[in-house]
Amino acid sequence: MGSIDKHNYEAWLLDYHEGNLTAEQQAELLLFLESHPELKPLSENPVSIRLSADEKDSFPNRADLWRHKVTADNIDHFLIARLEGDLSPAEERMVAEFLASHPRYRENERLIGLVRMEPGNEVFPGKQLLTHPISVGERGRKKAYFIYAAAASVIVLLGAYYLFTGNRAMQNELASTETATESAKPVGQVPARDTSIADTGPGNISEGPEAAYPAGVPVRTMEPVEIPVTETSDPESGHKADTPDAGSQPEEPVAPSMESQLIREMLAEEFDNDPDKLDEEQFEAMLDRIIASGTDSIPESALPQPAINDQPDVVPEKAPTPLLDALAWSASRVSKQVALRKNYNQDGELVAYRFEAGPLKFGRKSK
Amino acid sequence: MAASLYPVTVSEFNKCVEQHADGVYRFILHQNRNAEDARDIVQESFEKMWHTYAEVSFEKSKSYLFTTAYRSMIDHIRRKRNTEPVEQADREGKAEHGHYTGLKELLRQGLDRLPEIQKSVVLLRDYEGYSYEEIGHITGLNASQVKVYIYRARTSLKEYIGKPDNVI
Repeated sequence: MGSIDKHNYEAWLLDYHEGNLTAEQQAELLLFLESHPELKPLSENPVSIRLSADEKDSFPNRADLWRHKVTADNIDHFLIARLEGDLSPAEERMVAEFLASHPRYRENERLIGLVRMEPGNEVFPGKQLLTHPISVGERGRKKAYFIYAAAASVIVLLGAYYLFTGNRAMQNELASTETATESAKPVGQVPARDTSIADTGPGNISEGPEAAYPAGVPVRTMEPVEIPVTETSDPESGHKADTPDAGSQPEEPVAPSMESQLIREMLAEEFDNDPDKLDEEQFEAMLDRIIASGTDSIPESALPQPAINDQPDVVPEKAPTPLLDALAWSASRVSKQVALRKNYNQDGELVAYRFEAGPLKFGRKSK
Repeated sequence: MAASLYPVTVSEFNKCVEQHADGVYRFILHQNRNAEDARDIVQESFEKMWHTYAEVSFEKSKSYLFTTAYRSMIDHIRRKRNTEPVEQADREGKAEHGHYTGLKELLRQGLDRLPEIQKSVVLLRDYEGYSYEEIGHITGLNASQVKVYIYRARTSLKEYIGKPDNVI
């Protein structure tokens, strides 16, 4: 705000009356008014520049604006509000009372009841053009999820079946796949055979295809049989090591998983013993001793002893991995890339195992 | 617009087409009375949703479609007004007395005489059952304005019909 003069003194006066001037500005205004006495009456009568409302002026139809009163002028608004569902129960009652007392407004009620639009039955003609084909990725993902779920279900069902039926089912299956081809295996020098004992449980065993046996021990070779669980020797560590199972060598599945059983049968036949009563671990230990001795004859001490459990239908469970056995067996029905490898010590105790399913591998040492 | 956690997938998009294409088409068709323009606007709306699928969830897709279609229609009307001579429709008056017709046709005629915004809010309210707030979101108005426009539109339609006897 600049200094006061004849062009802006009115603004100064207005600010003075509204209390917007500082003490210095008020003093400047008073000096200006003293030097211009013709303006003094204006400064002394501030009422003259203020407007005052005439309290006698009032809206005549104020009652019509009240929402709590239904009148002939606002009945349409109430009826539309009722159509929209905006009325409270009290307002609904007021409208009903008004219509009851003013029947001629029933026509308004009927008219407003008509002004609601009903959607037509027009159909968008180019709907097919708008849809987008589901991408291969999305479709593939859904399919993959379905396959995974189905495979998991099959594995679980097979595993449950195996668990409840024991390894009898597996043995029967293997027996059904045997062929009667017999041929003598070449007799050669006995290699340093692994001391571990092959598992003849549900996962079966597989040994190297070149495994040799002592001369004089007739060996039957069997047709290849799919075997889900394998275990072999690791020449360096002395423990059993993983070898490609049926999945990794699908063209040449090794068959010697049956050899020990066949030898056992032959031995049992030779010694008039029931093979089902043989203890497998004792038999394997005996077999190892035979192989290690390199003799053609079977020493008396190496003869198998009858199993403690002489119930032919009861298969002794020697490995504390029944769930893994079941899982490996059932998963092998779905994929050949599944194997359960077990390592046993000379006493036939399970010392380590490893479960492999494709890239997934886990295992532990029992001791 | 903040990105949604659950963008529309291809199958959900196709589901949107099945569920909402007819509704959006009717809304636009009854606004501008031009089937070809309505088809273009609906197609444009779905194309926009397809290209911004990451920002639209399936639950919000209907509101997105109607909002996009409404804005496209307003733009379309403005472009048309700039390029074509305006047909000054008689927005006043009542249905000719003595000319009896069906209510649907009568309402359609009355609707055509309403301002665009009143027409939009009434169609969204009656066809899709949107609330005042949802209509406001689509049309860019607040709920009170939507309410006022709906009241004015209903009053105008009622005035247009004139008498219940005009309706067969």
